[in-house]
Amino acid sequence: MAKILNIASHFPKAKITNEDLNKNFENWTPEKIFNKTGIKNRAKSADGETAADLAIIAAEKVFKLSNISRDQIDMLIFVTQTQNQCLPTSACEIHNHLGLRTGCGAFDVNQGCTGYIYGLFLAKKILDNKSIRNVLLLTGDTYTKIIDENNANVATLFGDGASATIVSSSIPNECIGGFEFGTDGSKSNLLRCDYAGFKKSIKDWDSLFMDGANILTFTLSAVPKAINTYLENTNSSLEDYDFVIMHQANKFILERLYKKLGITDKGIIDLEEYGNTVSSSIPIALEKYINNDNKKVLNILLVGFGVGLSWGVTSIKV
Amino acid sequence: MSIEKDNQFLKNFIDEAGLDEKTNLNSKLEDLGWDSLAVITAIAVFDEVYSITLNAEELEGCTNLQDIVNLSKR
Repeated sequence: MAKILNIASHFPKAKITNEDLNKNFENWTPEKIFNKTGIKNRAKSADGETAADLAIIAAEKVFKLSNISRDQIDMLIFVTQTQNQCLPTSACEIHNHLGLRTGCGAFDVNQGCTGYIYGLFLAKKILDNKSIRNVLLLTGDTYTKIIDENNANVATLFGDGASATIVSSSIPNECIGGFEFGTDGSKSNLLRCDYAGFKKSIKDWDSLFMDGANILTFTLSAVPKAINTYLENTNSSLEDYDFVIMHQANKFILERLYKKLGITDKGIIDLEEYGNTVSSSIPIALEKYINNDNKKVLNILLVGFGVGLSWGVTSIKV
Repeated sequence: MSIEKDNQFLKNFIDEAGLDEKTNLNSKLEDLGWDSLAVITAIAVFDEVYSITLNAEELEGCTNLQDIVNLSKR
């Protein structure tokens, strides 16, 4: 049986404000940026400060919150698309920095906005192995390092951040539900970045490209279908959930998805102070529900979507 | 019903894009400051009003708002 025990997040100190962005984009006033994106600030990592560095601090925070100590972690999963280097896998370096046991496995997962759902799926399946009792699921991305700061389409949206989640089998009830995944690889070029890849030579590497209009088209079409399929497969309805937390892409997309699904009262928008933090956006929005002493069990639907293009749906009880 | 929806599209698009209330279906896109954000707004409002999800390429041949509205009648 798997359950999320605790979540902690961490952000770099430096921030990019809407006023900062307005200096680069004259037509984008701070008010216009906020009204469209729902974002006031984005955290920006320093030179040499990596997603793994942020995830290590998030992990130290989660150990302080949890009854589970680092010596009890049996598997480390790090979801990122901005790894330290080609090899070794960043998870192994994190494993060393955190002082985890040598008997603890560690691996990276290259997934973006759906990454947390993939991470939960892997954690749950890994916990089916009876010799594994606790998984440390880390997410982290530093998209500000792969963005052209003169490209308003992306510079207004993305911020850096990381999260740490402890998923444990040390409880009697199943608290992570079924999963629904999907991929449309024919649209993989709508959100892409060449960095750290081998398809092109280094001199031809391009920074992050995002076709916002066609990603919106994909999202408005694919995400409601995926949710409805999940509800059918789990014999549940949206009324069964207290909250719906989707990948925090931007306010414009989220408001439309929640309205289209008729869940404006339970759809969470929480990105004002961090921006779109990619793989970390769902756990960051989820953190406050996990670490509080809830008076009743909450059913929360989690929905990731984005780079791939990919989507994933699951549900949790907290 | 169709005219009602067309008017709803116009109203919602004006509201979302922050356009002058004098904007009408014959208004030329180039006069409305048509940019990537306007394209995204048009796709979202079109989906909301007509329950049809356009892609960006379908909007490329449009020169005024009536052309966009006409995409609902194909």
